Amino acid sequence: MKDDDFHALFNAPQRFADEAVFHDRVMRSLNTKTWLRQGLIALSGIIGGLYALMQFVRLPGWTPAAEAEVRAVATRTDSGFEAGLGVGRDLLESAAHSLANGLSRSTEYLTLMQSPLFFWVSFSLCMAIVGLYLVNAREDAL
Amino acid sequence: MSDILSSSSLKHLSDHDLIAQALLGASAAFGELARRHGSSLRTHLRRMGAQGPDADDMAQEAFVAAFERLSEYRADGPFVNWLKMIASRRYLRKLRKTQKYLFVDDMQAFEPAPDIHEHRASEGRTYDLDGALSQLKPTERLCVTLNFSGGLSHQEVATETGLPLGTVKSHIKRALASLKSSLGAVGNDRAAI
Repeated sequence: MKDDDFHALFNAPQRFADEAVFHDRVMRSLNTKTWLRQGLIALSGIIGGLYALMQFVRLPGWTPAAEAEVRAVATRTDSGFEAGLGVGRDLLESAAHSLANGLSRSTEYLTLMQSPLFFWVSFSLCMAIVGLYLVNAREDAL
Repeated sequence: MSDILSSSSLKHLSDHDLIAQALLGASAAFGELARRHGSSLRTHLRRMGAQGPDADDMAQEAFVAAFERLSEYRADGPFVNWLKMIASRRYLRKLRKTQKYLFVDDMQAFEPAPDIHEHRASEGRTYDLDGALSQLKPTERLCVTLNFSGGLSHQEVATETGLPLGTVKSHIKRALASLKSSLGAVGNDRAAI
């Protein structure tokens, strides 16, 4: 036998009964990996974007003391409203309270998002995602 | 893109055309490449010494890595050889992690030597290369497969395996002599019949 014969023998692949199954496995793996990568990029984008957005939002002069003031004013307004109209006041009162509570809660979230704790949590998450991406890229080195 | 290219039209395209389509985002084109070269890659890994399920896992990983780094393919050789190189490196990396003593000379063959004549009769082949390979020492098998199936030169085999060039050459020489002896015996038997 000559070298060419060996080349021919080595280049003749075996036949596998599960060729279609293997092909499906490869394609499924490709799709999963693509989605996973896109998901990671989207997640880090959302976290980074949310953080950046929250840093732009400022309530001028807002402090917990100012919040109490706002509540008091809202109550006085409700009383005047109730005295003047008297119709549907329960409903309006309930809506006004919900609105005031909602605004109050949103400002609490905003305060949390502008705190150093939120910065470090979001920064760590983004760094963890970048780290995962780099480790994955290193594993996949050709 | 993948909608435009039907699977029947992809079958008529060359590897390079399929790669160009895959680089434009047609994953179906890469699917055709995987269908075309899947068996070659799985066979190559088995001939290097990987066991069935491991070989398939590594072939799958090699396809995924090739898809992600497709732009790095320089077309300086057949595409299947590039795939084999990726798969071989993964296999060698795994060997280094799990089998520290693989590259020691006194290691015996992984598998018991099969009866080549019986194997040939059952599969209807002229030469049972896989049966003959299983009689070689792991390093000989590795070197000769990288050289003949992977298309690597002796120097490249030495670089990939980390073995000295002289050792690689002697492994390949011994492996070829053994293969010639095994396969030649089959040929002689056929002539006698």
